[in-house]
Amino acid sequence: MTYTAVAVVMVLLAVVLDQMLVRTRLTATAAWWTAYGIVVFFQLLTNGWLTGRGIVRYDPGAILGDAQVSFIGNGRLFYAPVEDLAFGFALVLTSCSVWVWLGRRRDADEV
Amino acid sequence: MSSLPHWSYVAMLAFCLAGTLPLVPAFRVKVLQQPRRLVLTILLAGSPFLLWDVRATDLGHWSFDPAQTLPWRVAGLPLEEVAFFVVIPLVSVLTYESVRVVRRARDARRAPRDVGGHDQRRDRRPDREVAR
Repeated sequence: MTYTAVAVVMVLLAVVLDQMLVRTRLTATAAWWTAYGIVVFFQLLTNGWLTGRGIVRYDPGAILGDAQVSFIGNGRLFYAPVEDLAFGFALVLTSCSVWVWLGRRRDADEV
Repeated sequence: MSSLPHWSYVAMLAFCLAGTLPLVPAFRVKVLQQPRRLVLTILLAGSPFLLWDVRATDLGHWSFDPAQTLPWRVAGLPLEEVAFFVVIPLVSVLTYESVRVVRRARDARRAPRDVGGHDQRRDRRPDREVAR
């Protein structure tokens, strides 16, 4: 599978985790979307550093764009492949969802 | 390895931490005080992504510039890339908890009587019933 395909699958799995498996349903809350909005802004900056400088390099065959590292366009945004946005979304959602889920379990244990 | 470019990836991780760790005293978020919950979150949430990363690096979907990373490798990944899966879950949770603190404070300001508790139900529920 290409990075594009895996990234889409990871987003779907993260949403299923949040909505159905641990039922934290963060994607239905304004608080989480606000937090994600803040994180994604800094993701564009920091990931732009990683990709714009070529600290991380991508196989053109695995992403929507080609070998050209564009600032915007050519399947890229702030130098990073757009797939990275999906990767970031899935990682941030999974992290927050697991955190909230563990908190609820802990609260339930105390009762 | 002591040359500056080798620290390029480390610099990015340091920037992430420098931007979010001050949230702990600023909003008094109780994240670091729950080390067990935090470590479990990082392990459970980060591991699948780390495994994906090891696999994708192995397949050559992406690679890391040896000149801009430190020399240590774990399962083919620079140590910084492994640290990424600790840092990003941490900053995500710190940001989320900070947003919740701000929102709770704002909600308390808007409806101070709710905090008192005894007439909370009377204040809130009827609106919802009417709205339906």
